[in-house]
Amino acid sequence: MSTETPTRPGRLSGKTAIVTGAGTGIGRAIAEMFAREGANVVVACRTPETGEETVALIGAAGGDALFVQTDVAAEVEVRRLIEETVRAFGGVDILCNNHAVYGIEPPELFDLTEDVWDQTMDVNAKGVFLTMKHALPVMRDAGAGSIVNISSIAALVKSALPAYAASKAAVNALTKAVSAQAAEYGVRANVITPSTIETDRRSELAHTSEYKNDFIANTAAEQAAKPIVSKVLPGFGEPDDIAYAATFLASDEAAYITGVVMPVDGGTTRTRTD
Amino acid sequence: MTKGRVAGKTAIVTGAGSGIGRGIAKRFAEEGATVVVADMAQDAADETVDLISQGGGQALAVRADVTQADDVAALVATATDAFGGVDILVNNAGISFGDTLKLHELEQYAWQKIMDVNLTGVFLCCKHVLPSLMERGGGAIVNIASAAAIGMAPRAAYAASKGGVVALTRSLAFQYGEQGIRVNAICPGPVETPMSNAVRASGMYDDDGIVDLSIKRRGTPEDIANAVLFLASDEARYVTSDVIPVDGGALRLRAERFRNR
Repeated sequence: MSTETPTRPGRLSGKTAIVTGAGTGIGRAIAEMFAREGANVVVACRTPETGEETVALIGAAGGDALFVQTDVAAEVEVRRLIEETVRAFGGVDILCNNHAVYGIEPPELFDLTEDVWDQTMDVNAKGVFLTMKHALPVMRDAGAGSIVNISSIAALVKSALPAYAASKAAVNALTKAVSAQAAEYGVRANVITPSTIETDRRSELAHTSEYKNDFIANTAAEQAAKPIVSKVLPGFGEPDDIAYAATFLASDEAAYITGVVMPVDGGTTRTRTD
Repeated sequence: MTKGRVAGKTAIVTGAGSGIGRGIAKRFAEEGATVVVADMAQDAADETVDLISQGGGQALAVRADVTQADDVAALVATATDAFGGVDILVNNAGISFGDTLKLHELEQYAWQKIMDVNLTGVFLCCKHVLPSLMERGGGAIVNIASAAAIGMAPRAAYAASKGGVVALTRSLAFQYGEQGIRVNAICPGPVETPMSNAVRASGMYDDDGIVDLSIKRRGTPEDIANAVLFLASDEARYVTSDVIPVDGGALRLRAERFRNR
């Protein structure tokens, strides 16, 4: 061992992070990267199988993680998530809200039921409110904390998914408001707005949905052949692209950044390349 | 061994003889980049290179006035000759000297000088570095704009020049995305630097300007450098055309502090 150059401490070394929706896709990538950078990670999601799988992946890589089954739309479960995190690791330094329901609404607003609207708002917007509500007192007592909420490009563009877009716009506004409130006790809050990221869920929607929106409905091959609304950079983003941005914002490297909406979208929000 | 986050890359940083630019140059070197330290003042550039060398990093000082096409062409040629190419350009050189809180009191030469350095300088550096980046098959440009470009803007000429930098950033991201070149901007708020200290010392503002921030302190060059490092590195390979404030969570500017002079 003495011949090896000592590795530098991780960028989140000694911190405890909660990542919601961490059983799959972007959330799993964030949880794994946070753990690689030295954080203790609490994997929060509804499905035990996928959540435990993320924990196992982190463990196999030498990291420390804990699964807490959580429905973020239920306050009693969110309270328990925070309590179990504090019990296991002594605090909450980082909260990353990545959970969302996505692609559950019909292509036309006049077909959108109240139930689907409520479900979208409950999970995507209220879920972010609840986790922040219960994590903030712990962060305030510690005098420090970093919240990174994963929103969506849908909040910024003319989205094909009005309920989803509205829920994500709520996340942006909520985060900015909290950034102003929470700064006095040392807590920062920022938003990442990803565009199309290559995940299993996106891939599934690409083959089954009827949305009038190339971000979702087209396969990569279709987009390459006929870009309708394209992005500046070629190709789709990957979960790690979001994880890198989340790691930066979560870390002390971003100590002077709060209330910011950071697109990680290959330039999508700004232009139509055709 | 943990590799640096920009290991093996060559970066040109303009205005790197002091303040934010020096912070960026040092941070890049810590993370494994070879840094071309460009500044109007040779001795200031030399000093930054000395600091980097003491930390075990690799850097080269080049005297360059970014408003002079010949200087910029020579800067890029020097970097290419020494290190075989350029991967990263950070347009950090900027001035605010001569700007006023009342536009009708602004001298045209001051307006012109601010535009020349802050906007034309960015154009010239991009123009001369882009061919190198294309030759490499990609690269990253990070422009240091300002919070003044997005609302916190008591001084009009400075704000206009930095607004131009934001627009230029987005246009270049569009033009060169296909070639794998990413272009982003950082908008620093109040940062502790020789330039901003001089403005405060001049008595232009009534107070220290941090009351309008969520985070009640001025930023440091390291705060800006960390954000630049992220955007310049491959970690941000899917980030382009972003304009990211690093401004302590600026709230709405309280105009009364700026009105009476």
